[in-house]
Amino acid sequence: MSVENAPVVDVDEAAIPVEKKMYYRFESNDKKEFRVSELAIQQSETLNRLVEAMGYTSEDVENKPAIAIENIDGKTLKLVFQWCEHHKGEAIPVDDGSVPKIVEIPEFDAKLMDIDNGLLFKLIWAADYLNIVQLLNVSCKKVANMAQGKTPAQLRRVYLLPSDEEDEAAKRAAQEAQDPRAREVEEEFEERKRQGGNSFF
Amino acid sequence: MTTESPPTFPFLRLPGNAIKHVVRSMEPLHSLNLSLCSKVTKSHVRSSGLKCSKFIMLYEDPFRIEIQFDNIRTLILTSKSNPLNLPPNCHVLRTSGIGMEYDYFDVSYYGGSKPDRNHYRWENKNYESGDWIQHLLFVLNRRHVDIMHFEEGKCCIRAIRASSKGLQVNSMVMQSGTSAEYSQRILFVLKVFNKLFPNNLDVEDYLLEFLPELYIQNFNNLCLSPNFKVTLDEMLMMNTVSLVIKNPKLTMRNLNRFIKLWMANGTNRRLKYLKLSFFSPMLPDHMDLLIMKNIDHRKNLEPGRNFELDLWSGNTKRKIKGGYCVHRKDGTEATIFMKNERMTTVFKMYVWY
Repeated sequence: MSVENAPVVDVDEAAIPVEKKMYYRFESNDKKEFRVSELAIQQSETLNRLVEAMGYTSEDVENKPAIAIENIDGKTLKLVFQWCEHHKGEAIPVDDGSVPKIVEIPEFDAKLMDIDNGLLFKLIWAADYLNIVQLLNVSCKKVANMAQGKTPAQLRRVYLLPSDEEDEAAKRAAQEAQDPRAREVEEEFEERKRQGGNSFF
Repeated sequence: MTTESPPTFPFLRLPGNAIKHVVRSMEPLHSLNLSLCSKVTKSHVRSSGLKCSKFIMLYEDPFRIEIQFDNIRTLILTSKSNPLNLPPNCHVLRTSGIGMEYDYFDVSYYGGSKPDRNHYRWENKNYESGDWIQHLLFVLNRRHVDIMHFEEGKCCIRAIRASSKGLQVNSMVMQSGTSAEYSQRILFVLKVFNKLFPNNLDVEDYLLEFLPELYIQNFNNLCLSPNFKVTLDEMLMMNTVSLVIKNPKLTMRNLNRFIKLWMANGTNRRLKYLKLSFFSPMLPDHMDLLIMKNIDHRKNLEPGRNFELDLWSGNTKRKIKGGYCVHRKDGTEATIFMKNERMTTVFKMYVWY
């Protein structure tokens, strides 16, 4: 995708200081390109460190290829950068370790996250990968709010939680897949036990 | 946009850090609901660092567990099957035909950022009352129960034993008016079967003479009623931090000897606060002199010294003025008071560490 056709997320020009007015180009894994302000990038610890390490000038940004973000798709990345642009310049919250963690979801974030659960899932993965603390906070709060009014049985359905028996079966299957001989050894062991053998060996 | 999406979310496929964020962002009640879904979620809830400030078990009718998280959040679990009120000759746990097959609790929750007024019912066919308590303590990262409150005749002794097995308890409180026999049985059950002794014991009206070993159980706080005919030898055995005895059978000579033994560095090494209330005034104006006879002491002339003590009811702060100062061999200082207050004579000893 050419730079000219790259989608540009909404930017409030007046809010960006003149000396900081530099836009970086990022490319999602499905080759969609985004231009994001330097100030917005500061919300992501991962990206901020990356661009600092690259030391790009304004010319480099235009002339060099866009920075690839391999494991995030365009749809998710668009949400991430929209969020970053809206919250640019805001202080990054420090976790005080309190439980329950008090998180308010602002109106903008609530609208941004009015998406299906599949996309919300990807958004959380992206926020975690890019280390965007406040986006992770609000998106996780949205998932936490799904537990409101749910009994344990309902939570199992909503959060797709396997039962202990299913967990055990999955664990056994994974072990067997890793070592096909394990099953045979186990069966042999059980057989010897049935025959009254004291020791397997 | 959202209407087409299925109302499910693959919670356990989130990155570990995000799972922790989600659980930490939940109201404690919802975290506890989640902990009941599976062993994996139980472990996640525990790892989130969820804690409560008070865990109280009330052996009343019905049996209740009260969990206070903070000033605004309290969870009350009420056992509706009332398995703890079986007659004493019944077997409590999973006995065919009698009592419970499983516990269930009605759950009420007060407080939180968005108060949850939903009605919950917790059930687990594999759980008995003790399992519920162990589950809760586990996910709340807690090793002990703060208070066990007993009301006579509301819970059978066997059930109490089953539900309190292996628990550490800070305080035991008997409902006012509880008979000595019931209190004795509770203490006997908890001591003999669980190797359990509370840090604090408030015993108002119970004769516990059949358990003299109670005195040497290293309670933090011990408050003994007038029915305990505590002698000097018994008092010397009580290795408590705070000791309050109402109307002990002690003379002024006994008190003099107690102070001497304490100063000689051999007895009551943990003692921080001692209060003895004698219900009949103990004689004359010069009683101080009798008690302090042949004891190296000086008058406390300090204008006021702050004394702090953790009682089971909470932290207590006092300003200490006057009295006499004595020193133990290792240099530890104590301030001693003896005065008549209305119809009682009070002896107090504050030890400074």
